[in-house]
Amino acid sequence: MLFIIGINKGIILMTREWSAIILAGGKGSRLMPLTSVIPKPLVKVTNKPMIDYSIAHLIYANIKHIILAFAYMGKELRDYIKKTWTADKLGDVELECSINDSKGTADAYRLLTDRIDSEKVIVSMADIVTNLPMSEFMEFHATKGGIATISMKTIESHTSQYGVVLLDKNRKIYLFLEKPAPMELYLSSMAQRTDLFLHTNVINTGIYAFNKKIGNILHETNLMDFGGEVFPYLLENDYNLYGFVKDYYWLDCGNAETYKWANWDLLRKYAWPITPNGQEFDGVFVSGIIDSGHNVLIKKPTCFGEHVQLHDKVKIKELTSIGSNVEIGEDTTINKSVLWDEIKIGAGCIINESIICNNCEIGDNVVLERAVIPPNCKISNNSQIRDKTLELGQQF
Amino acid sequence: MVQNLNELNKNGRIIGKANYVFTPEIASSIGSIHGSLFDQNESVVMGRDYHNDSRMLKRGYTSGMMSTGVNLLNLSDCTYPLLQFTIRRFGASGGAYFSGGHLYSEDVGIHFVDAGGIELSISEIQKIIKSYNSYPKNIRRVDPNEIGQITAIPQTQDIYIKSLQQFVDKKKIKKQNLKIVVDCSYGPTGKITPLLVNEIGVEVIALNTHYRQRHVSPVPSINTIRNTADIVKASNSHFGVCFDVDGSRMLVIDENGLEISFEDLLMLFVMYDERIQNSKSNTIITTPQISKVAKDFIEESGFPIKEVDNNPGEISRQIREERACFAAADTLKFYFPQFAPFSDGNFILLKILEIMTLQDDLLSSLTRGFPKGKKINKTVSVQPEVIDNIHNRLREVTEENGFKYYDIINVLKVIDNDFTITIKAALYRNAILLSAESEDINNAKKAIDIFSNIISKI
Repeated sequence: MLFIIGINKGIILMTREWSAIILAGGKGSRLMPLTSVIPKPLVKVTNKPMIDYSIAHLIYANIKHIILAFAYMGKELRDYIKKTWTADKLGDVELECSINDSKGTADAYRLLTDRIDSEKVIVSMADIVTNLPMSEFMEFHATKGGIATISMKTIESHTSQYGVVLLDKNRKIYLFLEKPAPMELYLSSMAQRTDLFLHTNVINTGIYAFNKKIGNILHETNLMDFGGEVFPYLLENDYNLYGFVKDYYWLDCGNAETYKWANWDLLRKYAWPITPNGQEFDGVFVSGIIDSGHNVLIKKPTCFGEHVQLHDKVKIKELTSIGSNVEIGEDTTINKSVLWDEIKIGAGCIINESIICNNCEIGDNVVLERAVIPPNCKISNNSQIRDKTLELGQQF
Repeated sequence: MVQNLNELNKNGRIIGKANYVFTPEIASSIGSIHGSLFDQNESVVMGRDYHNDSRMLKRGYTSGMMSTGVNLLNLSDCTYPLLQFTIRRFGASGGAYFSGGHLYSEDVGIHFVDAGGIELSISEIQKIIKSYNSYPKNIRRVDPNEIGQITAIPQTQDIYIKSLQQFVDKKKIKKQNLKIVVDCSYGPTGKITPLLVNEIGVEVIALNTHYRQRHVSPVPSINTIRNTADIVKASNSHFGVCFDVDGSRMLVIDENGLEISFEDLLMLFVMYDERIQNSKSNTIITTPQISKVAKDFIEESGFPIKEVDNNPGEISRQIREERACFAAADTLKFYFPQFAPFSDGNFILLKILEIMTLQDDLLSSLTRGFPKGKKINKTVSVQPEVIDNIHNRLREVTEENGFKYYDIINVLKVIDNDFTITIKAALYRNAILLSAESEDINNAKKAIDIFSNIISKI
């Protein structure tokens, strides 16, 4: 939606109500070695790069101007975006790429303030998988009228990992502690007023809505990070800050384990309407051709990329995601695993709860149990790898 | 002095009789081994049951832990779920809980807990045991000025009670004018449950809330359960509960003074808990030992089911991995992931109160229609003098006859290749109730004959 904001020398000046920035500058070091040759936003979850989920999420909420803020491997990311998000896919959506060497989330925003042409801005991340009800979130922000709204979610986890927040019944935020010490939390809990509630299992899911004014504040203060610096600053200076607390799917693919979970969750449709890449056939998502031998068993839910060759008696069990150009040898069983692209697996292998990255070759009769195989690895026949992460390009 | 800690390894946990095999010196070594697994200056929560042996061993453990430069948050006497809650609530890096148990009533055991409030797995506990066997290799000792702090956190219980109450509609429950009997089994639940339910407007008759020295007969015993049942009936209460000593599970008695079975409780939650009902694509986790009737009920209610062995922390870990909406172990543990990935007797109690309020009905009525499965039952009389210690005697004779059992407070569950049989003391007579289940009815009859014969010799 465009708004008239004034008339200058007879020219009508228009502005949008909403635009969005996707922060995609991180190195993804926690997800190593999966991110050893590609940036984290390009890591695929059920055969689709995470950044694509973020872009689609914003387009689905009818946002027409999206700026992608790249830093680490920015050129590769920009090339991917140009190749993938073509005009026919974007329609009337403007998708801009910007490569800047920012020093934090708030710094990345500050460097883009000149490009923001709307009254309100969504800031999202390129390394999370979520079905946050974006339109509802935007409406919440507009209704409350605060300077910022933070998306939050109740989680089954402990606080040291994420931080805590003190909210009132109107969802106004009074305190925001980033990774507090246990004693600090204990004392905060005791000191709280009866009309406020300290949410320790409510986490900041990294999607923010701001009023345009935040740009001025960032320029005045030179703060670098939203979570650690900007939000505490806003609270200290009596700005109204709100928390949008809702039950929705959200997962930060922070390490190999949670990355696996994200794949499983999408296959199980926990993030619906976000689903794996490809067309669904009763729980099996297929993007291209599966060249299947005799007596092949495919269980649901699973997903397949393009050009997958399954030899005789292969068993693809539930919660498995297989990428493109993958060949799987005779009598091999794959269960709850994530296989990327350009992979060749020999005969008689058993692969369970493992991740195999691009360009890997696995010999015959190999057993992988909760293993992480980074790109360009070669595993010799009869190897057994359990609870282990190999190094980039390792020959085992 | 124990040289190999595997001597104290029972069912994957470190358990032993204080001062006989489990000494304060061993506890101190375990503290320094466990402490060395954390980084210096991280915070760990400690707690224990009421008994002096647990207290002594915890103090030994404390000194070892402090020597590694780890800070301790001390809950003193508390329930096990309160310790798990505290770790998560305050973002501590882990915890340790010392208590007796229903299965080992004369012993003290340690529960090691991770930062998510989940008990360490058998393999992680094995690492601690291995480290003990090569002690003091790999132990970190810090300079005197870096020794860990110990801080009491006495208000945590109030924070826990407030937090629990947030999960139910207090006003609706209050309007229902419910009255319940709570047997706290001489455990730290006595300091929590009466306050918790009273604050949400439920009248409570609290029993056995005081300290009692450890006793050879585990509680809840048939006598304390009978007592609770009698008081439920006499006081016209809506139901009664008998907590396990650590507060993680409880036995439920309906308004008629009759025990509600594990299967009926499971079906009650699956059928009437709104949150579970709204999560139909999410898995329900159970133990492989649960009866066919309960499994069929879950599946027919539209939930995928996953069976997980009831090893330390395993169900909790699977809840996280599967994003399960509910879990139940046939040891009377029920897990509601919206609150926590572990079983908490107080939360189970609140869920029952909530269901009774929303359904506006009594427990006997709510559970009456549930399928009971095909079972062969028999009552075997026993001498009145053996009743006091009947649970221990039943365990002994079951073991002597080569059967493996699961201890479910007042019930022993024996699982054989051909049958499953539950053995429990009757509430209103000096007798043992046998109930056998099998695909083949003849196997169930055979089981009844075998155990009638065994029990007749008690």
